[in-house]
Amino acid sequence: MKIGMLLSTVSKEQKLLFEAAKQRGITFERLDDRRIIFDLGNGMYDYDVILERCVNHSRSLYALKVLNAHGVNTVNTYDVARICGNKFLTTMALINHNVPTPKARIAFTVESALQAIEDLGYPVVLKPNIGSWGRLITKVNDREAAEAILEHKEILGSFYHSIFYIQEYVEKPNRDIRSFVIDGETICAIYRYSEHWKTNTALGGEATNCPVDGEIGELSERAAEAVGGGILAVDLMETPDGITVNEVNYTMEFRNSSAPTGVDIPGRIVDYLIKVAAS
Amino acid sequence: MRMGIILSRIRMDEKRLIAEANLRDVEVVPLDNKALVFELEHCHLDMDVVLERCVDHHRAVYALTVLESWEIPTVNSQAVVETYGNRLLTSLVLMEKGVPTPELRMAFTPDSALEAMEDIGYPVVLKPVEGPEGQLISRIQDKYTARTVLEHKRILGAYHHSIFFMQKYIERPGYDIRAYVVGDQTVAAVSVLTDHWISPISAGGLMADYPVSEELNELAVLAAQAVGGGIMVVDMIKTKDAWYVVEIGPATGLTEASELTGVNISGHIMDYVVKTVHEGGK
Repeated sequence: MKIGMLLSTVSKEQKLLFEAAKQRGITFERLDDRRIIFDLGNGMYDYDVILERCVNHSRSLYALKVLNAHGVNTVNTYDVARICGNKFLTTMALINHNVPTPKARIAFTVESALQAIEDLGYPVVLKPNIGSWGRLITKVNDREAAEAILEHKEILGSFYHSIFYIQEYVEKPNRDIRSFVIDGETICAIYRYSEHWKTNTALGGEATNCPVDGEIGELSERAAEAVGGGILAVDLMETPDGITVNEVNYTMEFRNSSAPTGVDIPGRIVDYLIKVAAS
Repeated sequence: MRMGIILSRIRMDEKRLIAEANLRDVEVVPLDNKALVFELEHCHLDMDVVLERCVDHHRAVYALTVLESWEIPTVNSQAVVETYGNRLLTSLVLMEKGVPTPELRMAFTPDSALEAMEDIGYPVVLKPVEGPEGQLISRIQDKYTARTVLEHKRILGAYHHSIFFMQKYIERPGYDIRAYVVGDQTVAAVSVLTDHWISPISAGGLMADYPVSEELNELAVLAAQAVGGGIMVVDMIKTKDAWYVVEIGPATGLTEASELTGVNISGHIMDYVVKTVHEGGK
């Protein structure tokens, strides 16, 4: 069985995965995205499965596209990475599968985005369509803030920043939920606490165990299925109207989540890879 | 029939298309992409079909994604526009369908890109993965130029400029061929002559009518169908020995091409749109 890992740097997550593989008598062959050259006409990739762990979304996406086009199994697939890496496509997938998600609008100019914001009503959340770790996600409280931020995006950003994604702001307690779904099953979840309205653990949020029986587990599984399945982390929010799905992540960090939940997340990931490789 | 036409501004090409639509009793509703707000959770446009004529590729792809999820037929489809707007996606489908296209390598860092270039051999063509025709396409003659251009892309470009595409340079006579494909037929073709090695019309290339041979038609249609079919321009080159498909793009330059060839390309396009609605629409 030949299992590859496409990666940029060896982070804590990668080390945990190497260790989990070793316990199962497997070694990952490392494909360093800084060195690899893809010959588009020749598929020379005789792997049973490749786990994608790049830092950079565009590298993930393009590498997965070539690998899948040459018939190589990847976790996750190109189609899943394409949807999860793009907030607009994620929202569309959730809506099309009747998974509750906050209202969102798309507009292409500062003027039409402003109109969309005023229609939704302040505060709203402006997000870059493509981006991670909560970067540039902005809560906009009034018209002057909206005008200033939209203008900065339009003038300073690349063209991706002029596709404006506007989400209604959802009132929630000082925590949100991140659940981990592997192969259609919610294996665990954490509450992430923060006094800041953004609760990414990458931004210093604290984590405790969140039980996954009932609605949280079921909604997470539906969200994962909506984007195409595989190994996913689902961000959920508890609102006065019920639980809603905010985003779905396809190359997640998990170093802070095994301890509070008691679930061996890297072990479960490697078990899933073995299953895909054997199929 | 009610046809939305999503556009950035009404140019000569769009005027022609609207005139042809009116001749066929199609009601045209211009949808200015600058003013549109898409409310994602529910359909708020009542159209039998939408023709996409945006200047900006990304606006086109996003708008088409929403329209398709609302089950409004579109020309072209979202998947087709997403594919031909991206050089990786286009090359992969061309290769998969056996359409002759220049060799291509992809790498993610200046070091690995340089290694790929040395392997292909100079001159080598460096292309951004996305971008309008001709823009930032560079012919690199040696390692020193390669290093400096790669460095400029890495430091100055947005992140997608660090996905490097290297293509083998193919010697050809001083012109490229643009074939206008509508459905399963090449309706017209023009040659684009230039004194520069790339020949986008925007760079001052001169166009002339080019005969649509059986060979040209078959290859252009095969390429168009490889990306999913519809209305598009297939850019080709012809060397002494062979034809190659270099790129595929939206059907622009209709006015100029129609005048040179005497073919009413806009009329063919509207016939195709009407047919699409009757065959697959609501």
